[in-house]
Amino acid sequence: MRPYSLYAILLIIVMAACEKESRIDIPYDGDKVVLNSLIQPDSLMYIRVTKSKPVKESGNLRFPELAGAVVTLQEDGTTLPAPRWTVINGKGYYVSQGVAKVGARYTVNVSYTGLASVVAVDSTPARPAIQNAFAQKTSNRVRFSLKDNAAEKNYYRIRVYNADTVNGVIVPLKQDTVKFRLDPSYNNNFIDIIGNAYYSEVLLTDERINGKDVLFVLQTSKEITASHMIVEVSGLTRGAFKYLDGTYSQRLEDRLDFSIDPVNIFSNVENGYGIVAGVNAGRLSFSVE
Amino acid sequence: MSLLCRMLMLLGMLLIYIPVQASGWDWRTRISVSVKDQSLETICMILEKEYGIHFSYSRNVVNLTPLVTVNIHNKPLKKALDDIFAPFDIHFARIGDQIVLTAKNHPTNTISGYVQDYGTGEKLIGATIYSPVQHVGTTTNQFGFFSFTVPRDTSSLQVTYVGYKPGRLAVKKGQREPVIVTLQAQNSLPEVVVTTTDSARQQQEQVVLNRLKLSAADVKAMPRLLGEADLMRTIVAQPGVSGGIEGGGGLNVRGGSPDQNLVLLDGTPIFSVSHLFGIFSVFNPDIVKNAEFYKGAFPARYGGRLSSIVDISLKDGDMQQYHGEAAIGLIAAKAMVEGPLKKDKTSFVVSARRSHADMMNDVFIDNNDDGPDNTTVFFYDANLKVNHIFSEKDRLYLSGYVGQDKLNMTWQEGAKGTDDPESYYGDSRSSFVWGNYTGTLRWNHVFSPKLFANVTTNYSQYYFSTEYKYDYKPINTTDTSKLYGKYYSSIQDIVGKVDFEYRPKPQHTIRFGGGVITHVFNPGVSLFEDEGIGQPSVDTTYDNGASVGQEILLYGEDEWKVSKALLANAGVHASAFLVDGRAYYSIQPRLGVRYGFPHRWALKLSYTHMTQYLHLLSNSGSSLPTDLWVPSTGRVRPMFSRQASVGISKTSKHHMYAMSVEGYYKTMDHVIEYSEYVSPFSGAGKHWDEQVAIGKGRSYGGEIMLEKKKGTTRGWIGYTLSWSDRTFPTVNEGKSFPYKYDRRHDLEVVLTQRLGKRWELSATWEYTTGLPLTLPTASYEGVGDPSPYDPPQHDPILDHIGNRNAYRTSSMHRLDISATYSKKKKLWTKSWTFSLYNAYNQRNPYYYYMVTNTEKQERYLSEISILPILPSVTYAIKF
Repeated sequence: MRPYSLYAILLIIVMAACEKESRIDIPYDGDKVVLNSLIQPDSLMYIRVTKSKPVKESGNLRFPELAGAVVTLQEDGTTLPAPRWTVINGKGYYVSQGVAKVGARYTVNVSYTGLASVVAVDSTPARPAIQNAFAQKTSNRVRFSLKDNAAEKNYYRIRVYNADTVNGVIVPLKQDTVKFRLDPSYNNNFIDIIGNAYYSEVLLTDERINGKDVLFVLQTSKEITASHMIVEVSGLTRGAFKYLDGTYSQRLEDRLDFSIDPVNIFSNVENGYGIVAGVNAGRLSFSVE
Repeated sequence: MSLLCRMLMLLGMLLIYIPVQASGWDWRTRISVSVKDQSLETICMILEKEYGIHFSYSRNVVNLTPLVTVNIHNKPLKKALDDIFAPFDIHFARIGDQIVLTAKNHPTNTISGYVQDYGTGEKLIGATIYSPVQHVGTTTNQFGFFSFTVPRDTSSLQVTYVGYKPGRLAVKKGQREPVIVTLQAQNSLPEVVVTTTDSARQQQEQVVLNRLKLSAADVKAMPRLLGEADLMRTIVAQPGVSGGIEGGGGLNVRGGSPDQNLVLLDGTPIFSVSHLFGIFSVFNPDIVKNAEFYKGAFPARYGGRLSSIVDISLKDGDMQQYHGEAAIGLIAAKAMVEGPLKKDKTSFVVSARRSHADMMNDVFIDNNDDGPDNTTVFFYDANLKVNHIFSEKDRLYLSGYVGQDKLNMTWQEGAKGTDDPESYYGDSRSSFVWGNYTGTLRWNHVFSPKLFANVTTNYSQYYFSTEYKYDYKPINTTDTSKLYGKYYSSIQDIVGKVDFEYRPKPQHTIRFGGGVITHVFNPGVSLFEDEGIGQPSVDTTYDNGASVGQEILLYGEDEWKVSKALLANAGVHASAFLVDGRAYYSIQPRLGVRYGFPHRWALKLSYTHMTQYLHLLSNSGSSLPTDLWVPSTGRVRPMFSRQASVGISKTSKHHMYAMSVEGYYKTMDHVIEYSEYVSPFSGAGKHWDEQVAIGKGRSYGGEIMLEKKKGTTRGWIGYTLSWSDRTFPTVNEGKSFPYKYDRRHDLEVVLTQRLGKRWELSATWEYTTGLPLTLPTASYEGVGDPSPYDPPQHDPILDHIGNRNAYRTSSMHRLDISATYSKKKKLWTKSWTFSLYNAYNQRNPYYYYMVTNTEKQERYLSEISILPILPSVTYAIKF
């Protein structure tokens, strides 16, 4: 996981700093198409197309949607039926007419009048093999096993949800994300220890667990009180991993989003911004003992 | 027998006879002769009688009447004759079976020895030995040694050193043993200016090109940050040099990065030169005797870094009496003691410094609710040096240094008595330790009055280490956990080196030598254990990719006074680096020339090549303790630079004022940087060289220095106009971009003012244009989940980063002032120093980031500044 900056941490820890709004005039590169889609196998593909904006903003942080864009979708080189414009939870998406497959290669093209056309390509990864989830009420520990496939270079995202039963089905309480931390021996992340921080997701590669069947022990920030829980481990493509890793603080923290690092967030969208990448979430629901 | 046969026999007998006659003696023939108050002629007769050695000479040319007392026992003939005749400037040579004596045309006498403090025996570096008659001179080297060959009829020499009363050295004929010249310190008050003659001073200035020489007094005269005088901050105040972050610490010389500076402490390389993330340097000014700083015209004896040399000499210790200093300020307390272990034979100096952790935490630590329960930050360092004189010709120096910074953090979870008691107890402890260890052994030997040697062996290590322990114990279950993790990195240098200094004539100082450096790289190892879960952790160690590189070096240089006006230092530094079965070679020419014009104008030129086999992997915009030293590899070749400079200088008639203007152009090949973000604790890994971009650097600019060197008011104004850029094929679309330390204008004003006998005031004011800044040039929507039915916490806003370093932070300026009150008591001197860092509380930019306010629906660029006005007071005593 990418800490916003070690420097910033040291600064916060060691120095009593003073802050003010800078007078530097921030330049703008001009409007570009922003294409975002995380493709999950066995699910429809939701393609979000928006337009970029200047960095400095006051009054409206939402990005303009490009409702009239021409979006084409290809699966392993074959053009699929055109995605349809659909508004979900107040936001517009181009939604595919069929579900995505595992191991397929998807190409998304977007054209919009007055802006440069963009294209992005990625494939979908395999679903991680997880089992034996366990947690105990009034404790702070969640356990599960993950078997890594030695034949591939794998990237993972781990999330934990409190859950409840609705009509006998365990459903995640997604607004109630469980914050946790992982023994740093799995992801070699000492920065977790410095901040003693808990996260709503942890990203890791198989560098240290390659080919092994590993018991993960997560420590939750709060005492476990839910009757059920869900452990979600997503397999990620390299692009998805780099993108999610680079955007952690912007996606999941309400606080500052540092942009001082002169390294751009990973993007595979040619002539535009954003990401098209494959993810494959495996979920394990279980009752808390 | 025929005539022919007889002639052949005669020839044969002659051929046999001549060698027999000639082999009666040779230069290795050992002789003994002992006379008292006899003439040289008598000695010749004795040798002729005893050993069959015939002497041939003309009484009109050679005077053999002087009476001498000689006691030679079993010495080789040549050495014995040299001892007998050299004091009388009689030259001897073998012609056939006799020794012909002649008078030397220009008889000379080589005086050698040490210049030292009268009271303490401390060797004085850079003292001038000057012949007023011949208008020639020389200076003492780093060990206080000099060798000066003057005409035989020279009767006395002038010896001077800044801050000391000039001395006279009476020259004795035939003096071959090293002499000790003692100089008495002035009343240590700056208003008492040494009455050095202009010629002697000119000599002092001429001898070394492009060298800045700093004494401990120079360092202590500068305003202090939080009460601590600092050597590196004094160097940073020079033109062409800038500090890395506000507060100093970092050293960026002529567009170079901090890892390109070779910092030597008594000849031992120091890898990390700062405490407290760059705020203070690791050198305790109380025991620094002298520091020399080169930013161009590098002498051939130095090598291994591209941009600068900082050569620091520590005090040797008083040979006569015990002395000490102690001081306490807001940040640190320190003490130093020196004295003889055996008078005139062995001395020591020991010093220690430590920050007061508690006070620092109160001042600096931002104890917010999210932070750790307990945080301690402190640093310490200690030096020990022992100096022993075996004989007039042999001295030994043993020194050691240890310095550390420590940061400890602890968290307690589930503490009893809180409003929201947890169901477990958690105890988390993290510690970070980084610093240097060094050890140095140096042996000086005077082979002859003209040949001086120094043998050095030393060890230096820089390390960074972090450890954490986490104990988890639930109240309701037995599911305990005991995590332990460790990460460390280090670099070690083991050096063996021999240096010779040969001064055949006053016009030449020839230095040559060689050495071997073993570099041991350990760029990141991690170790994890969990004793609680009853099963082994996934791995025990990780990235143990230690490697060893061997650097072999040879050098030779001649400081040659070609004429009265022209001085040159020409040399070659050759080196090889062997690592992982590969070998790199480098031959680096070094040239510095100074030409003096009338009215004390001078022109300076230099051209140097430098090679650096070590690289520093830095994952931040600034130097951090976690940076990793790595060797050159097959993909990442050694860094290489070329630098040319030209300048003019002028001094006023009485050397009250000095002015210099210098321009330079420098190129750097094979500089590196990470091509993508890398976690600071992940270690370099075995394939680090695939994660870096390799490119070129270039810097050029001009520097102006105006200096007032005498009087109660002293100081300088330094101005730098410079450009520095980098080009990487894979960064910034291959386009050149300004280097992160590129500052267009940098103005430094340094002033010291003496008020009466007890007060000394000082001030520095610095103005620099902004540093390069990379800004986002567009913002756009992000995504975190595949499905819109998975509600994200909020719509992520991401930024697209524009061209590298295309913008600038706002300009920075700062005034530091300091006042010292000293009062001499009967047995000791006390002083109070009052300082104001950032006296008018200028909020200089230190860090930028984007702020997103979802309530007001706005985003803007925010500027953080640190180090506001910081008053400090230091109390010190000296005895």
